[in-house]
Amino acid sequence: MTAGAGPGPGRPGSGPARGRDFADFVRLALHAAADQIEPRADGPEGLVPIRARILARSGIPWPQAFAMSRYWLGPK
Amino acid sequence: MRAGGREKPDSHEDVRLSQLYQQITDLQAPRFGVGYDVEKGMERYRAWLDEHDGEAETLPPDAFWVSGTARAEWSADRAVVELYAEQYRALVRLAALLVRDTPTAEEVVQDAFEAMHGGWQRLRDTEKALAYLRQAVVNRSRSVLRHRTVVDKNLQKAPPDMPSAEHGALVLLERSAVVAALRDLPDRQREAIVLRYYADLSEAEIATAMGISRGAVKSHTARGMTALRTALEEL
Repeated sequence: MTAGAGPGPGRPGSGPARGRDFADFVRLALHAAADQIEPRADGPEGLVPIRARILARSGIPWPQAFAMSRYWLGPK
Repeated sequence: MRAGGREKPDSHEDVRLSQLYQQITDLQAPRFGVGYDVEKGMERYRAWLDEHDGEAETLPPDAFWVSGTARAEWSADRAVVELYAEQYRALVRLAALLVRDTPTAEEVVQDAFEAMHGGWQRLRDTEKALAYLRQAVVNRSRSVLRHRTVVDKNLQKAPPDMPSAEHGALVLLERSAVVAALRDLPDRQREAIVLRYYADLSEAEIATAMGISRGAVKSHTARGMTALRTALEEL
């Protein structure tokens, strides 16, 4: 069970905790929710769009910038 | 498309094109996968940076401007690679808690990295760069939400930036009572709570990221927590 996703403080019937307990509850709930999020482009692959944006800023048109960023990862 | 090379890009155009190329990449992923090995590619790129870092260090401080620019570029590239490896996922999660959808969160973080690369000559330090990235993520997330509010008002329907059901992360996010309640808080209160209780930043770091005083951070956090507790009690 993840914090905030099932019975416990903040869920119907129990009511949220007070003070430090509530802060800890919020912390756990946010971490549990965030841990479920996986970037689509994770690992080195995710650098491609960033690199493409950087290249594009220097004036290289987007298609070339993107192609260059992919190529920059290198052929096998 | 941008004409004339160095014209200031239109950010909306950039975002649209970025999304388009991301979609193309996703569609072509199996074909790309045949021709590229990203891990090996990264190793080669790191090796290239190591090699050129050495060259950059041997340049005299008063080397003519091209060398100086090149040196800054190498450092900026390295900073992007290092901070990406260490912080990308955490920053996307931070942004997702603020903007409530993963694809937009990724756009926000990519945008922040691009800005950090551009500002590297001013930063020149990974600690400062990380603080800059967080600040950029908070600011850009705020802009996204502001834009959504305007679009919502105009269209009078569900937020158009919300992803389809296939983006399971949003569904998971919404399942959290705390995250759902967080959504109804004013922007500053939500930011203060996420930075404090998710990113575990100090008051001073939150103040920097949000561009406000430490006193204001305390106030937004306290008010936000009270509102959050009230919202959860009403469930």
